[in-house]
Amino acid sequence: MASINLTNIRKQYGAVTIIDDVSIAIEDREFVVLVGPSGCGKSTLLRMIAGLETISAGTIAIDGEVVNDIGPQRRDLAMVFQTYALYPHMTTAQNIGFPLKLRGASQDEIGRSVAEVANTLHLDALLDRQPRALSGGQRQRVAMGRAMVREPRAFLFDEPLSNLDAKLRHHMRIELRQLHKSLGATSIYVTHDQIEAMTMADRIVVMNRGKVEQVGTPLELFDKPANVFVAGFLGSPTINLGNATLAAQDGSATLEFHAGSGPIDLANVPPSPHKEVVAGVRPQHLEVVSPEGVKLTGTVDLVEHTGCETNVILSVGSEKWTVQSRTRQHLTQGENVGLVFDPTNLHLFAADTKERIRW
Amino acid sequence: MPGIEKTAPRRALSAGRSSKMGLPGPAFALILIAPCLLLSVAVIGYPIFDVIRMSLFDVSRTGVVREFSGLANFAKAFADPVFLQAARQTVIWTVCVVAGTLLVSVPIALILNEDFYGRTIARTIVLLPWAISLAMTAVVWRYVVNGDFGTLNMTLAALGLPFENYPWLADARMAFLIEILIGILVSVPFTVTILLGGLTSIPESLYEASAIDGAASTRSFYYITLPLLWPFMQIALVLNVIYVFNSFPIIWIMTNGGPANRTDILITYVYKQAFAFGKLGNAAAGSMVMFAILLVFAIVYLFLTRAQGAKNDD
Amino acid sequence: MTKAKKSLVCWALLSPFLLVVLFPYATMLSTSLKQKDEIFTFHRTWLPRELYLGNFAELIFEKGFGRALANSLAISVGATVLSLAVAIPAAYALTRMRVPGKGALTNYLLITQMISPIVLIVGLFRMFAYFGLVNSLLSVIIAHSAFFMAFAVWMLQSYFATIPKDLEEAAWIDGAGRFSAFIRVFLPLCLPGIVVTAIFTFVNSWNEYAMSLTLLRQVTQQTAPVQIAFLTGTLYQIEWHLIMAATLLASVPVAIVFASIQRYLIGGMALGGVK
Ligand SMILES: Nc1ncnc2c1ncn2[C@@H]1O[C@H](COP(=O)(O)OP(=O)(O)OP(=O)(O)O)[C@@H](O)[C@H]1O
Ligand SMILES: [Mg+2]
Repeated sequence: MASINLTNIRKQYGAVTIIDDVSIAIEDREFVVLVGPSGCGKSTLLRMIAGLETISAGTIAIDGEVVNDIGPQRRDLAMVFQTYALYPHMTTAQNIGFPLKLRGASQDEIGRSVAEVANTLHLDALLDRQPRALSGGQRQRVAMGRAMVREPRAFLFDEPLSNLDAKLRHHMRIELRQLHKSLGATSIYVTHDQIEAMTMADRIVVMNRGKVEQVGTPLELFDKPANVFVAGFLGSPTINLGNATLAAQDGSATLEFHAGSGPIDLANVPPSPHKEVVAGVRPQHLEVVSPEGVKLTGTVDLVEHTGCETNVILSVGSEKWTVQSRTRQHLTQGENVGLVFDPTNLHLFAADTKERIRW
Repeated sequence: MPGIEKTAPRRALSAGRSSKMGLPGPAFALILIAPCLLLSVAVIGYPIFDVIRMSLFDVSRTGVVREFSGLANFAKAFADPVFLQAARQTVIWTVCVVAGTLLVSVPIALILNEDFYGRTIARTIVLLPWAISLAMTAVVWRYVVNGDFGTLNMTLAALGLPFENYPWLADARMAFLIEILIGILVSVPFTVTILLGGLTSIPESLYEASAIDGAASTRSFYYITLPLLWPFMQIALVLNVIYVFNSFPIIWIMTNGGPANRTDILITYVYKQAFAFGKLGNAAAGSMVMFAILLVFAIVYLFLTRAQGAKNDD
Repeated sequence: MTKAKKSLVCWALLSPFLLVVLFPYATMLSTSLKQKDEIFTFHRTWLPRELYLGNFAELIFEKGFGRALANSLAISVGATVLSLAVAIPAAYALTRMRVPGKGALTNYLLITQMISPIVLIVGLFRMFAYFGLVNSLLSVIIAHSAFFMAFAVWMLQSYFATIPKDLEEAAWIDGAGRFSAFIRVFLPLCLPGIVVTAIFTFVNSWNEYAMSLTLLRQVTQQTAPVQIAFLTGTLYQIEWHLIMAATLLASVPVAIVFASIQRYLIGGMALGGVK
């Protein structure tokens, strides 16, 4: 098992910078998830760690040893590809045993290890089949087995669940998590699915356009997003964001949304140099009340019932906001309603830098 | 052409910096390509150089290159009535064979693209001439049309037709016509293959859509099949021009250019100059003329395929 | 129109061409089974008097045609091995790696395809003569390889491109060196493509006439097509019964092999070569 340190990593294709000065320290036994929108460079970064892409600048160290110039063969990492990349001409047993065979293990040894892994992954009955005769979930497990069989220093996953249906994905998520618990192997997991990120990660790395936006535990990221991008990327439905003006006077403050609201009183806001802010409230933290005497109001556009939750989509000034509520809401379109929230759940970001205002 | 040879490796070397990581660097890629390139440059590139040189020098019968003679070899060739006759006949040969091939191949490809019983067998038979050496095809046909003992006259006679001992190859016009027909026969398989490749790439849904739009099948042929097949026909056309222009065994074996050089084409002319008469300078000049013509065709081909590749990328 | 009716129409339309294609085969078969006196007579028939196999025996045991077949085989196998040996690495590099000057290289190979060996035959002959290789099978093996290699590179390239790259990458990560991944993962997967390419090259080499004719100038080294054509060049009565037996021997096995890869040619080569 191993720690992995990325220091000032950069990747360029010609003049285009794909990965821009990324530094991440991954501890031994940690399960780190890389998330970010499509094309932000997650796969590229993972492939650089694996040794499949060259590094334009910076260093990658595994257990303190710089591996920039070491080929993928000798980094002793395992990788599960999005396409699984099972060898079509080999059976399940041969696929799983391949890494051991390359290391010159005896037939006996290979047989034993393969049986053990197959047992863990419930593949015993499928050992003689070729990949084309396996279902998506089974293929995914064979790919896992091939990664597990040689106890690598770390596991790399590139969206391994994206080809599965929702139910199987949920199931595999739990299995992967349990597997990680029992093996305790350092893992880097790429996904663009925020549920996977939130539920599986010890720590999440949020990337955008080749840069790291924030690193932290799932709840840290959810509760204290470092900037507008992270706030908007995590959480479903998406956080409500609005430009607002912050007016602070000795110990207390008021917030006025540009979209149209009266000054809302905020207690406990420390004096802040920022006057112009982006304010965010998660849909779960908003409550619909009668509009009388409320500073923030909107008109109902749409009410969605998902069963346990109700999503109310409203127009606040020219912006669309969402409120998520656990109680059934009986509202009609065009109805004017008031919105209230607990100021401790408010997120404030500087309007110019989009960075979080700490408080 | 020699320009390409020279610049390709040089540009390659300047960019060739290998990565330390064991990932393939450009230098390694060049090592993999080197044997292929070396073989090709040595066996094709050197003779090109040698032929160019011989065409510009005075060359003895035994192949000793003597003094520079400028364009004298070319002048001699163009003054040779046999050369001019061969050139004229080359045009006739190429145009007739290529046009005939396309005329025969398009309907055959269209039929073979239909779904009918025994299609695989029919395809195999149509492609059969491709599998056999042109030389052997020529030999067999030379026997088939043999006046006294050939199976063609035997069959025609059996049908009661007056071809008992008709000497098909004795008359130059008839001989050339027969050679052209055989040329068509052996070019059809390759052409049909290309056209079939094109036809199978036309999605069935296009026809369904036009059928729904109420188009009759003749109309969908004109508006769908033909336009989509056109690029493949162009490529088949150019490649056939190149192959037929270069075709040697049929004429060489069936009539050896005779009677009285009336079936000679440039390639048989060049071969005779070199290996029968030992006029190496003449032969080299003739080769250069052919080479220049081929290069033009090759560039046309490159242009066509590039244009089509660009279209496919959209 | 039912499929049966359509089939009838299709076969009827094709039949004139099919007849012309098959006519020489019928001639070969009929004549090769005849005895000499059956050919040089006034009343000839398609059917031979009896199933006479003596022509084949005479050809091989007395005329030395067995040696011509052996020469052809040696040359074709040699040319196939050599051209694949250089074409496989090249095609691999062209599909899998960043090759400097790739466009120029592809164009160069394409142009070499367009140049007939006969245009350069004088130069070729002189070059091999310089190295003392005229009258050596090796010269034809090398010449064939050089001229058939470009096509092999294209065919292989179009097959190689269908093998997903991440299979090899997975093998590298599993601990395989580049060479080992190539041998254990890549090669087994493109074996069908390599076999088709090999057969195509073999057939081309087997059938080639002009280079073999020019570079091998002794009767003992002639290849099958050259010897067959040579046999028609005699001043005496041409022994058509023997010649037809020879063409049958030299062409039918190859035609069968060729027919076996026919369906790969239609999809793969035509498009691969065209692009
Ligand atoms: N060979 C290349 N040349 C130039 N640009 C490339 C190359 N490979 C990838 N890119 C670019 O690098 C960026 C990052 O690609 P990458 O595959 O890492 O994205 P990703 O975050 O994994 O996206 P996804 O979630 O869609 O898989 C993309 O904008 C892509 O276009
Ligand atoms: Mg990706």
